[in-house]
Amino acid sequence: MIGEEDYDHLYKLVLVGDATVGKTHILSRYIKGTLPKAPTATIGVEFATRTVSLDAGCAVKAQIWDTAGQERYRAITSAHYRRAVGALLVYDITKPATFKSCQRWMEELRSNAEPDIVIMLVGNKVDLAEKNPGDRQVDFDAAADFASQQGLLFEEASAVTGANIKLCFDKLLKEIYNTTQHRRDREDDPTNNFQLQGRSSQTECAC
Amino acid sequence: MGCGCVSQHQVGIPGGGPRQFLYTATDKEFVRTLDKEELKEKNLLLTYFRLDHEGHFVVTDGFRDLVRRKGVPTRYRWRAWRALTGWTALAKPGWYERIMRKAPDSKTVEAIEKDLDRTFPGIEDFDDRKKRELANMLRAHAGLFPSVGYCQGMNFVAGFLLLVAGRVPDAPKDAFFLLVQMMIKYRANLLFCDGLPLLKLHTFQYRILLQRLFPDVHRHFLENQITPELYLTKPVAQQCRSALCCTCKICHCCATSSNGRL
Repeated sequence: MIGEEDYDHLYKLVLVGDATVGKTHILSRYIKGTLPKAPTATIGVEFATRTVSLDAGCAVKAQIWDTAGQERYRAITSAHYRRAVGALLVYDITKPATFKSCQRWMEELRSNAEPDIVIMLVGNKVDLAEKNPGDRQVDFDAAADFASQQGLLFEEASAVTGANIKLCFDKLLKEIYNTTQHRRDREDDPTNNFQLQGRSSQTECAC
Repeated sequence: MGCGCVSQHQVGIPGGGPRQFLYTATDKEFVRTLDKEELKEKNLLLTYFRLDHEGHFVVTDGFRDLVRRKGVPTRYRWRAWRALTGWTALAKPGWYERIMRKAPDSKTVEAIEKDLDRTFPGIEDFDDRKKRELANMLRAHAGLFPSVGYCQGMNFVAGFLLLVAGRVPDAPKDAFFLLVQMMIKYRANLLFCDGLPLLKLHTFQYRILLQRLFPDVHRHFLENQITPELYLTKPVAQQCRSALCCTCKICHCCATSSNGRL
């Protein structure tokens, strides 16, 4: 286990998607390994962190911002995409409307976050489709096609069973590492300053 | 609770309706009804007991001042809120029933349904009956004010009102009128309507205050992207759900402030 403050890079990730697709459940499963005890709607923005080591041998700290899904709260949440280098765009595989919204969420991310933000499309609630195949309303292939067209990473997962949750984050972090590595090799870019800042402020702002 | 036809100013002279308090208890008898917890604030309860005229309070400057300084004991909370918000002005016969028949659009109904199980999970008192009452209340509100509709956070405000209203027959009706009063008279509608203007104003005011009073903290927060929205949205939009007594304070503050602003 790596110490929380012992990391090489700090990556800001955001969790976006329609209301009740399971963003907070995914975050809780990834951070705590359990589901929220008293699930309530996320109001505004919340965040959590986890430090993981990548295959490349370095430790990265993921600062994950969980946002409210309700349309109205975008007035508040979109300002928090700033400086995000990665995003988990979540939809519910049993609700086609939540998949349709992905296009809009993506545009929102691309216009408010870092221009080369790495986006991971996540189809949540696979456990429902496993229990009852008729519940699945969004095809795996359709979502995979959409993801490849738009240049997104893609996984299906379940926060309830925990399937693929860690994989989603690991893949995303690795991809961010690779893209920023490229950039670092190319030029001395502003993310380095950002990481230095992250490192110098050792106190954790828990909320 | 009251039949709604007796305004709080008339209670000294009983109207033609059925009298609910035929017998007035003495101070001594009242004290005997208090439980162990309540005995700790016996004097305050007695003050409220003496001010209580047949289930109503007369709102005077003195009464406002009492609420502001001492708060309201649980036993009298609901009645005090009702009196302070001017609830009776809204409670015209038949109005409530007419509003309850108005239905908002299906998208709003769906959004409300999504949040029913996510309102006060784990609070025993908030059972299925209360959830149904909450759904009706939020639907009626959205039908009455389509431009505000439903915004997350409202479920906690409305749910909290229902919890305080308790289980008397008129509780849902009372709670609904109080919600409407909060929305109109105390401008909570600006907190929840499109663009969340009041929330933005509050966070802006907070940011400026922080910058003036604690510039170091402000700078540190800025560097770490800790915006006021991050830690203020929830308490403001839910009006302090986690600290229930804090909500009471807010209600008291807005109810007692004479200019009717939050």
